[in-house]
Amino acid sequence: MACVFIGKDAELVAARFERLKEPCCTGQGEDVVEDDFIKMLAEERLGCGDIGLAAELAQRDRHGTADCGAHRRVVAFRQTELALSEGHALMNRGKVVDQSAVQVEEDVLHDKMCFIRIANRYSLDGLCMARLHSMASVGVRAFLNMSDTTQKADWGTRRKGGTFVVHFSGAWVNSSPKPSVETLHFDIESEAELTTLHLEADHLTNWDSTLLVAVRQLCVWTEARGIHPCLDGMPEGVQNLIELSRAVPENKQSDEESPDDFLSNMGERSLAAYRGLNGYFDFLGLLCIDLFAFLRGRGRVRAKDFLLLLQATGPQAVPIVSLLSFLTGLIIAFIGVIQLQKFAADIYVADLVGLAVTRELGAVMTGVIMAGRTGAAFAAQIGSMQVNEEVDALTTFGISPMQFLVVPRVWALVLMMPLLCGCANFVAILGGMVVAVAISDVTVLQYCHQVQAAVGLNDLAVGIFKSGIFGLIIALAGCYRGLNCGRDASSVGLAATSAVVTSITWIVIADAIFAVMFQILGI
Amino acid sequence: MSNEQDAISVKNLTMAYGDYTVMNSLNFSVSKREIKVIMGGSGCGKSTLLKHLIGLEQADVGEIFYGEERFEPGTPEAERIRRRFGVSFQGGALWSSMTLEENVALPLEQYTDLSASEIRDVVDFKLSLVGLAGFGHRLPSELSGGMQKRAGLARAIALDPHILFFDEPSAGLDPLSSRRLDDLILELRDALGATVIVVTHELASIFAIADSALFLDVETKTALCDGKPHDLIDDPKIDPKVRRFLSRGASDND
Repeated sequence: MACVFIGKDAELVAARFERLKEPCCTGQGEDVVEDDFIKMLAEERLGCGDIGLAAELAQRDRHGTADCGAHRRVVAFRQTELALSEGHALMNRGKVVDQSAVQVEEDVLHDKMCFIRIANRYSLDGLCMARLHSMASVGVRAFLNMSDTTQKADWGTRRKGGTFVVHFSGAWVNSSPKPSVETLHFDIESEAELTTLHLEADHLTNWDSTLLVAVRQLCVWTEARGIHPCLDGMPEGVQNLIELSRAVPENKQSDEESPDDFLSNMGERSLAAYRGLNGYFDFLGLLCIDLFAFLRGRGRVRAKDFLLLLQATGPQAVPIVSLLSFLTGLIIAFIGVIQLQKFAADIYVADLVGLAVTRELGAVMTGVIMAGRTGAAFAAQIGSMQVNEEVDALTTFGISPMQFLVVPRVWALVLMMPLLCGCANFVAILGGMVVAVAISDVTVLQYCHQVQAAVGLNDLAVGIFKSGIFGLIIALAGCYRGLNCGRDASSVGLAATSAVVTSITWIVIADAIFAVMFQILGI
Repeated sequence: MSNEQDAISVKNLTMAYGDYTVMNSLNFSVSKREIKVIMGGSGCGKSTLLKHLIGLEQADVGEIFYGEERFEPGTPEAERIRRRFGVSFQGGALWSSMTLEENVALPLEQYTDLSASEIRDVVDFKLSLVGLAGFGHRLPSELSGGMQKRAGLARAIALDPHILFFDEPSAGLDPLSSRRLDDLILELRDALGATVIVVTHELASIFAIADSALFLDVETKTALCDGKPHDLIDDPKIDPKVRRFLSRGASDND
């Protein structure tokens, strides 16, 4: 019997064995020493499960000194080995038996023998070892678990007439590596005139969706090539699930994708932009009608709702508007004082703060704060009402969402923004005063007097007027985005974001237009 | 035009989202005091049909008549016709910023001249009809899904509508609640003389309430049949799809 080397360091052992042979064949006088050495080596080899080498060594033990111990076990292992090689499998890739996993203890050996016998009866081609997993004792199970080659997902193929048979083996689970389906496609394509594809799973140990996905892909792939897949050899669960997944035919009328070239993209976008513009004008037109209906007292707004909106957009925004305006005034005064001190013109910091705030910053700061605070809230409120079908519910009761939701919000913001802007102006000038008094020689009275002289009623009016327009812009952007919100949660977020971006953009644009306009008008 | 007895008649209605056709040339009518069930598998366009009927979507082709009047969303006539509607939405669709009481009261405030105390009495009564007496001060978010749905129903019947629409009334309800809801629908029809359109695929409900049932088929994009469900299931000429649907696929094994 040829010596079979198995295990990870098989080459190393083989080399040592070759070296051992030399003195055996030549030196006669050292036989006893040699026998002892062989015996010892055989025990040692057995200890680490090196069956083939141990067997070879035991045979060479001419004096039979190893009989009682090593030899008996060697015989058992011989049988094992025989069984394995007859089953032409466990070692089919020369590495199935994991050295470290094989124990020489009698009970494990017994289990192993049982296992081998079973394996033999099933005419194993090796990978079904793990199929016996559940039948085997703890020791063998541990052995099987440790030897990952038995767990590896794999397949074997053979051809029988017009039928191509694929044997799935090993564990087809998520965690185990599996071969690529493409190689199997290649194998099948290389065969000519196939009519059916038989899928067999007699060597399968364990499976989950990984196998199902592979089988389904294979079925679709073969059917597309006129080969009929047959799943009779698969576990019943696999057959049922695959059948279930194919019970309802795939939706053939999937959304047709428009051609993806530059011109059609541009066309689509232009049409979408045109429709968007149309929608915007529709919105504005309807709103204009309803805004005036509201003024004539013919709106469908509940007084309570309107008052709540006034409260939310006005008084509740005062703290944040005041804080940010105060700090803005502070910062402007700082910059101003430091520069103006160089010319001993400290007192003009009052002019700087007063004019900058009343004409520009008060309105713009309030606009930006309210866009982030209230514009986003409008978009999110109306958007989530859209998602919950609440807007549809209004429509079916004949209550126009425009009248019920948009108009009160627009009026609330248009009324409250000038008040907030006035508040912001006052607080910002106050902030400037704190800095002016603290770091320069200007007194409170001087500062107040200077502001009074510098800031005319027209400057104040410009800021207040602009803030009203900004309020309109913010409310329009918020409500428009909210009403045009999609039907899912993410579109509410999108509506809020785009409401803020739109309103801030338009605030800045409007401010620029106003700047030019007031320049020309000389206000 | 249309039969005098018909509360609703739908002629040659084609529904589409953009280029995607949902249903092709539907023709059916609903007579007065009839409970009509629109059934079909998921995604066949039942809810879309409902949206067309109540004017939330514009028909691609075709017309819808309520009595003698043509219903075209966006026109003043449509608004007038709509006042006779009561719609119960799939998720309730209560206005989330208002209490239940305010939800039910809003249509009354908008369309009637009742005083505040009269409105409160009506609201109490409608809420007690759906078993929600005493919950009037709760916000919709403080209620379970089933309660929200019932509150939506109370709001739908606030104005004693002539035509009631239900979108999946028993979806998400336990069997007893959905049974009670079925009874309530029958009761409302008898008491108010309302015409009822119900979109559902709950077989128990279909058999319990439907005077006639319209089956929408997703594959052919047409209505396959229109008739009383008990008759449909015994009718030998009926399309097997309908029989399978009505028998939960049991006739597959025949």
